[in-house]
Amino acid sequence: MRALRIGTAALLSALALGMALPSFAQDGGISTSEPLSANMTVSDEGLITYAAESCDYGGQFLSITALDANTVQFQLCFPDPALPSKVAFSALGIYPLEHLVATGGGGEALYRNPVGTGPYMLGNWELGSEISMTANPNYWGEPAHEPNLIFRWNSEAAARLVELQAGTADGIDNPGPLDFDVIANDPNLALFERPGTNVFYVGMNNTVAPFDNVLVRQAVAHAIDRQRIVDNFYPPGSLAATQFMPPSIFGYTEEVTPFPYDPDRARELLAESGVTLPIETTLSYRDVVRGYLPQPGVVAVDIQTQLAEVGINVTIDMQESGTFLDNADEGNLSLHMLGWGADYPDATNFLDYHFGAGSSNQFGDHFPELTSILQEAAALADPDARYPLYVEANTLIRDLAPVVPIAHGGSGTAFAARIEGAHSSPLGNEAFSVMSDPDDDNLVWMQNGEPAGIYCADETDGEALRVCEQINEALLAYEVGGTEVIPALAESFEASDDLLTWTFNLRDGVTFHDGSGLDANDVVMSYGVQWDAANPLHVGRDGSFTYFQAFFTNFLNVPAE
Amino acid sequence: MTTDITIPKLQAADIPTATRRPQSMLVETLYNLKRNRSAMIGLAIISFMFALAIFAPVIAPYNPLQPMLDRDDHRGLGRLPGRAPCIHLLGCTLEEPEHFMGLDLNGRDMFSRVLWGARYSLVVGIFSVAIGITSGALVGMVAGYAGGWTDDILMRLMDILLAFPALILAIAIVSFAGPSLENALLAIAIVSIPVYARLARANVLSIKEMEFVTASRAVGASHKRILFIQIMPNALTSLIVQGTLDVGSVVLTAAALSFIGLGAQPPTPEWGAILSEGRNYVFTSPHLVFFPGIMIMITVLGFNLLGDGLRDAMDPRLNRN
Repeated sequence: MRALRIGTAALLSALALGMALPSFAQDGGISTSEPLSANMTVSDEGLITYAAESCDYGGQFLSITALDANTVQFQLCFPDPALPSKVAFSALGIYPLEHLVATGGGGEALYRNPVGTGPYMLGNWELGSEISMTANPNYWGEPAHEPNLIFRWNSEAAARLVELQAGTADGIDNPGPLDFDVIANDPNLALFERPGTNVFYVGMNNTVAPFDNVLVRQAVAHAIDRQRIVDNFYPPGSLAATQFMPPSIFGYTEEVTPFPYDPDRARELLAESGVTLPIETTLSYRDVVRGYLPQPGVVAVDIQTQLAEVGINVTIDMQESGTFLDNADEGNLSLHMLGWGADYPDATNFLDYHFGAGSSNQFGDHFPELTSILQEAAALADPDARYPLYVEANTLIRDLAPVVPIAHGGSGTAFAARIEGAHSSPLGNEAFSVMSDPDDDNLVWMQNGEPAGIYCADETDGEALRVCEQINEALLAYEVGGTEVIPALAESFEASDDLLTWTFNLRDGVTFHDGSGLDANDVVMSYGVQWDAANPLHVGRDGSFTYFQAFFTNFLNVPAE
Repeated sequence: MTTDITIPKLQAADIPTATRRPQSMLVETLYNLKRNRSAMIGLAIISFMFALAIFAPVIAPYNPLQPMLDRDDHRGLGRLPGRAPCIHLLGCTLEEPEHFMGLDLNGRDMFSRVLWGARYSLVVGIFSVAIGITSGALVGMVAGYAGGWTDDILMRLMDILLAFPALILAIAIVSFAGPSLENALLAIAIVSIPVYARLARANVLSIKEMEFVTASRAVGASHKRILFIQIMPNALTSLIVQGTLDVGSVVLTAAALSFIGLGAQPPTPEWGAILSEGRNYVFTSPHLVFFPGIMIMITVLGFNLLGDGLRDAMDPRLNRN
């Protein structure tokens, strides 16, 4: 068994920060009795345990324990069959404890300077220009094929394509819908279509008039012709949405049919609702291309045109991406366009994130009848038992109409034809370590935008997550170009029959980019700083840790409002 | 001896040109303008653009806001958004409905949108300049006529406004007031005020020392009468020339504001907004940017040619007679 490493750096940093931390003894153990949090204990052997007093706080974790240097155990408050899929996600990447402490759990030192175990190490981030990475020479797995990886960005699909055609980029994300044929017909380029494991939707806030009236929300659902939008503004491979999750995700059901496009019925519903017509409202969106929404401005105008036909006059309000997401989460938007791409292939990723107990106020007040069904379904291990609950949940979403699911957008990547190992991932997490460019030592990738930060515990944007996925690793991972969960930092795991106890066995010989070795305490603390809102390292970039809350329902020690 | 003295009858052609020259400044300007070929081309372009703007509802074959996506006569044509121009005379099949400038990304007729766009662009151009001239002239004339601390305060305020690059200031104003075509119009007008104010002040400073003004003052005319009845008409000429020159750049600025999303909002078919919508597809569907771009270019060219011609026509130093 590997010994816990000596963490003098952590101790020194902690002292510098004036925090009470586990001190690392010279023999390699942790021996302090003054841990970071009241919920954290350190054994005589230096093993950290994070534990809630009970499950009354409403979250999913009861405890996270380092059983020994390379074994971590999760105790859950309720069973979660999707747990392996969740822990494979990049927001749950593992960081060295010392780095978390040294950076105070946040700030630019952390979110612009990640330290991970991945096949690439951060080289330099030239703000506004590019992020360069170099291959990790001590990678535990198959080393990166290309010595240097460079991420650049441009929000214009045409500009990305020009860079690819000119040879200044080796691969690009999300070609414009009208560019698919151009790429497919160019022998120097290769197109990799991405199936639509996402959903684009129009959301409504049930606390803002007139969308506090369910009949108005249903009228909007009847007024939008989904098929017309997909047929005209999406690339090949896209589908009109019938519910809030794509067909490839467990929980999708053909038993739920959406409200049909019927403008006359929409007008009847508006008349029944008693609201004064025409309705004047604002449709907010961000001008950011995503697989679920390849042409935001164009689709916004088409929805504006369609809603005007039934007496809903929409003013289009384009917001800066970060502002828009914050406004959506805080429930400040009455009518808005947004989407969601699968992080892991389970209904909980779509439904619980948006409508579960831990979801944001994006659609206003939660719907208790929906929340309880989702909680019940998430706790069941048997797919046959879960399925009818998701039928019920999808039916409720249709009838309550907090959202109108519009499309599952097919998208793609395009690479220079010479790039070996090029691919696209249905989850948008392309693995560049398996790609190589026979012409030089650089692989240049051009995506839509620059990440706000790359401490992905506190990021939700796919542009950031893709960078993190090259540098940081989680306990488990998704197969390259697919959705199947495979071992990563944990070479194996076991679950108890009741799915309440999960034990992860860490891989031997894994080192972080700073040279320190991976051990179980790193895992406990990487989770602990996200889980415990009272932990002084629970800082991040903006402190929202959105994915953790959405995945695991609630934080520990949430401060009273 | 008598000598018959015959006095030759004076022929019109024998009269020196100088004696035929019109006396009125307006007539003289028009006369000079008519002889300026570039100015006439500019005038023709502007007249054409105004005609398009006025008769857009009659000329435009489709509603500029209505997509073709659900129309029966467009079914079975394949993907409509961004469709290239279809002109029957140039070989487009008769089965396909004609769209001279193709369809935009929302499947709307580009020709109709570009025609209607003339209305928005010209209205913004003319009204912005009119507001700018009116406000600037008022400020400049008051400052120049009153002099002293009034002059100092007003002109320093104008200097502050002038210190900012016009487009940046316009962006700041629209960002504060909220993006819309009306706010863009006002912002452009505001940033142009100092130019007209300085011009008006300079004119007033020279005119107010002229004898006819002194005479008016001597007979007890009020300041208001002197300023607005006697000085203003003489000071406006150069402002109008400057204004004509400026309409082109105002059209361009309005298009720039719409291009970056601060001017006309969807679905308004303003040229800058149309250009912005198609900018991502400049290589695959060039018609999306070509037609609004060319309309902006031609309009600006027209106003610049006319403005240059007007300046020449009103400049006695450039008088070719």
